[in-house]
Amino acid sequence: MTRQEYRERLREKRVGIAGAGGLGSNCAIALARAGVGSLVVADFDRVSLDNLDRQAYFLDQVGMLKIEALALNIARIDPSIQVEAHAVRLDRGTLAAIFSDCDVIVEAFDAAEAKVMFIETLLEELRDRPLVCASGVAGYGRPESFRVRRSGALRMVGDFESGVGPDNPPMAPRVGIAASMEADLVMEVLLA
Amino acid sequence: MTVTVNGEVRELPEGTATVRALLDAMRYSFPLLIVRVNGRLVERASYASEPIAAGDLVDVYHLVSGG
Repeated sequence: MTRQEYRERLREKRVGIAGAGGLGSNCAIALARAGVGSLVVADFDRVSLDNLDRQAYFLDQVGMLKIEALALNIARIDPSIQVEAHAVRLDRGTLAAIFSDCDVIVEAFDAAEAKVMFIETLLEELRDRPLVCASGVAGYGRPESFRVRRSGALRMVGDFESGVGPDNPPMAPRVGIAASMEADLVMEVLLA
Repeated sequence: MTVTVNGEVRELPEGTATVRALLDAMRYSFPLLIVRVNGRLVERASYASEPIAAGDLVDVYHLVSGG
């Protein structure tokens, strides 16, 4: 396929992104640049100064809702991309309904408990819907430790062991790699 | 008893009859896991009661914070 043919196919697709932090904001930007026509993004948080160390926001956006800042940043890349933004805390009760019409859904949470909640809820409620998740993205170095694992509709990236801790913060390069790998797995699903 | 865990064929001790026993035998000590047996999700509350049989395909994912 040519570049234009790929973009025409992606134009028709709708991708859900649960969380608009380090993984979600960078994944969304990659998908917007690739030409995905419609994004559903959900996050309750506001941009803080500390977020700028890895998240796709800017100094003048500190204090804004992340979903609003993300929609603005995507519009600066391509204003024709449809962004449906939800300022909600996602839980077992809201997840499936918000993303029910998406072709694929990306897990972009910070807390491991939320990641488990995402996988358990959506495997149960949206059976066979492709899911892309990440686990083990903190710290720096060892980029060769990133792996992709697939099990049915579930795809996961990360090293599956580097959790965030006081001595192991999330940092832009590794979080960015994981976000890009998630976006790449979305492309794999959408163009299959 | 032979089962496939994360794509690798493993010989488990006799008496490894549940998901909980399998996780212990494999020394999977992370607190948050996603476990699928033959493609079906096993929730945490069911680890101790969910049976494992010879020939099962088991996928275990460690979930750690960060994003």
